[in-house]
Amino acid sequence: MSSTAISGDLREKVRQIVLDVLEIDTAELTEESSFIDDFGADSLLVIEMFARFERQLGIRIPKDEMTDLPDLPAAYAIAEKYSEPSHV
Amino acid sequence: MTAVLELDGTRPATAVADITGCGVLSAAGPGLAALRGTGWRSPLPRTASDEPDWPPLAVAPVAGFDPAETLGSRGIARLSRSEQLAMAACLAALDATREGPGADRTGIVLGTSMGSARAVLDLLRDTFQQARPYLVNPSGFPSTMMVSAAGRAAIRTGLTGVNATVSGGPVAGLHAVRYAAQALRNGHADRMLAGAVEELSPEAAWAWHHGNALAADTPLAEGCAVFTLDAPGTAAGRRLGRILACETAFTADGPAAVSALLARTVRTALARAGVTAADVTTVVPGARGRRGWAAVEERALRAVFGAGAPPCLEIAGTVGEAHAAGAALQLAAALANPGPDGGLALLTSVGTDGSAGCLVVDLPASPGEVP
Amino acid sequence: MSEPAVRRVAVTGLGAVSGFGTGKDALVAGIKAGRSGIGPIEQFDAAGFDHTLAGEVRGFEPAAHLRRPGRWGRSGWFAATAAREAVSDSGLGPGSLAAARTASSFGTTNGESQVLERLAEQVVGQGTDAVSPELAGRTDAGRIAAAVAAELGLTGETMTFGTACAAANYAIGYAFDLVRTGEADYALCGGADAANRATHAGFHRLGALARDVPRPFDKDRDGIVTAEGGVALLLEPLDDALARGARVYAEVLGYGMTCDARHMTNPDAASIAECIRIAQRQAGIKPEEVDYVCAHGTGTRANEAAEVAAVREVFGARVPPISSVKSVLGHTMGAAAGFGALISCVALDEGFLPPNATLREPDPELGPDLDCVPGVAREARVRVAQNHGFAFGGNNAVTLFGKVAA
Repeated sequence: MSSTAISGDLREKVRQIVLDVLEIDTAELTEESSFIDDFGADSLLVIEMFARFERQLGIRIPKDEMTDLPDLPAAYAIAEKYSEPSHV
Repeated sequence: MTAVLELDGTRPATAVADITGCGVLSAAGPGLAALRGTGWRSPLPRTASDEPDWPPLAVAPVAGFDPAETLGSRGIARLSRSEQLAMAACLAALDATREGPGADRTGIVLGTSMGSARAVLDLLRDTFQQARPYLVNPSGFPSTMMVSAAGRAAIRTGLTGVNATVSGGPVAGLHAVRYAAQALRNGHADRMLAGAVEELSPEAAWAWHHGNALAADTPLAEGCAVFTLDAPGTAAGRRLGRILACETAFTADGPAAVSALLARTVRTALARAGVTAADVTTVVPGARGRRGWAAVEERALRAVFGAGAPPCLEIAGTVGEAHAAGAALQLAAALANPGPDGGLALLTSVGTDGSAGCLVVDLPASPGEVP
Repeated sequence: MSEPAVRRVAVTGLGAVSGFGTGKDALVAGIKAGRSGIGPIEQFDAAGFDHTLAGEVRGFEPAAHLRRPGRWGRSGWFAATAAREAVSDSGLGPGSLAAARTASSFGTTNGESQVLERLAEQVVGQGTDAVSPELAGRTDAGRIAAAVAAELGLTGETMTFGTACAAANYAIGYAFDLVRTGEADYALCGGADAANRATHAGFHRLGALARDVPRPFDKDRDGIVTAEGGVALLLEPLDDALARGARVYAEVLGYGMTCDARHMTNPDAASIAECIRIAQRQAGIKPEEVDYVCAHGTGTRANEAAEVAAVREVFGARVPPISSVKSVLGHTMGAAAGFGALISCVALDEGFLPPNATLREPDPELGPDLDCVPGVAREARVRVAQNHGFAFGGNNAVTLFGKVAA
């Protein structure tokens, strides 16, 4: 499997987790959406997203990184960063 | 009836609080109306035979309650059953009450046993089964704390006054009323929403089943009843009842001592209410749904009333054995059944740990439409 | 109801079970010296956790302190043991308490959490139907105040508060009202919680656990350390205490409570400030009369930011010395505000400021001129101490204690 395919699969999983936690429909969520301003994500929901990344993607995110999660690109970036082989 | 009980008269020296509204969710259905009379309303208790995790035990969930409809669907899955019931009952109690003190002078006190058993056990299950023990659901963590039902009810209602959670098995509702009465008396709040909540869980049901702890024909139940309590004589408008006394006590010396203590507690409460046993028109016993404990309570009532016991309002068949919500549902049942001329109801409650408590409430004649 | 006849209320007995061992003297000595009561987790299997330190009570033998320890869980043990010590410390015979109307009022965050943990193990290991009714019967948090009453032979009112990490202040406040208005002759009050897997996992998941020790008010503070313990205060009417020549640690001056009604976990500075104002008003104390603030001071960035903002709002330019005993004890949850109350009473009695032992460099973001009493206890005349407790659910409770002139 190519790295692009892995990345695409991962992104879809990340996106689904975000949709589930924020309880929104897929059409509502764009790359430009702000989790906080557009969907009212509070600190607890942000932690829940990180927690689901760890549980459902089998990755490990350092505590210091689990502070801000403003939008989808940030979510993709952190999931990809810690899904790299060196972090598995 | 003595002058001190005159509902429209001046404030009796002995009253504790006026009940000016309530929100009730029980196996009999929503509101006080569902609690009128005795015997089953809708629906019949379901038995666990239809659900794999449950014991072969009659179980009676709250009827006629759609959490998503009442509370909105967003975030509802993150709430424990106790939180849902408490939020809905607090909202209903406020809705049913005329405007009064501001949000900062209105508090909430809820009685519970240990909060949401299911929330705690779900979190613990994750700590044992996930790849790493801390991979629990963070949004589920607040719900594992006893404080969460009252805390969420405050967020939902916007009430910023005193917010307390008290624990104590079947007596929990009386602890909550006592706390509320003291808060009013000592100026910590001008209005209190006071009540108690219990949720069903398969784990608890198995414990009741294995312990053979339910009386015959009594389903295991859940529920929540919350009452708007105002300092006596301070609120305008309709009054569902006036609490004249609420007393609790404790003994570690076993069932016989609990009987004696309950009798003593009832006598104290009647004296503080300024009434006698002969003034009591209805008794609402709390332990009828629990095997063995009904006799303990019965012995105390015989000691107080002798042969002249007033009629009992039996609620075990109406709302089931709702454990920590028990005393609050007893109070709801009393308010729902005042009789045409009103009267004086005595609620009694005993816990397996040695707690005993009672409440004396004066009921107005024909309150008309009840919420 | 007629206006309550007001009696002044004294604290005449103290008891504690903590990371420093059993007994209030060990606790007070440990706090004053700035020693740490924190060590490796022993109360549950910490394998797999990234954070494995806790403020646990080590080597506790319930049978050495209690008549029927088998009836109670670990939280009940701590509450009852601390209460027994408080009675003994007061010089009142246990018989006189049993004969009077003595209330038992205790706070907890998680109740009998270790009992629940054992239940969960049964269910996970053997299925839902494996629940033991005997264990399930011991999960009720109300058994904490009951354990105190049972062990001391009391038949008065019992009240267990589940108001999380502010619970002991609720319990002390309620007991104060009971004694003040004559609803009770005496009251034992405080709080208790046991170290447990669920609480540790929950705070771990929230990212709220410190790397090593809690450093309240420090620029590098990074969280709490979970802890356990039990604490008890004996309250009685001040006049009675003086008449019998009792040692009066302090007078309970009053207390206040508010609820943020905003968020389950984020503290709210405005609501905390209002809570402090209410407590001071109820106690008849002006801000400038407060000599010491025993902070909630958990060691999280969010708590101290909100707490200091609230304190500054109330006290203005002159903020009293402020410190947190959680720096050495960790966060004892439902007992925490009780430990704050206990050390405040001893500070009033002996004349010192409890230290914020783990402070290295005060957080500049908390503003200038903040005296957090770093290191060890400092001698000082303390006439009024203010004790903070804030909880999940947005529940705040502040108690005030005053020195009684000899």
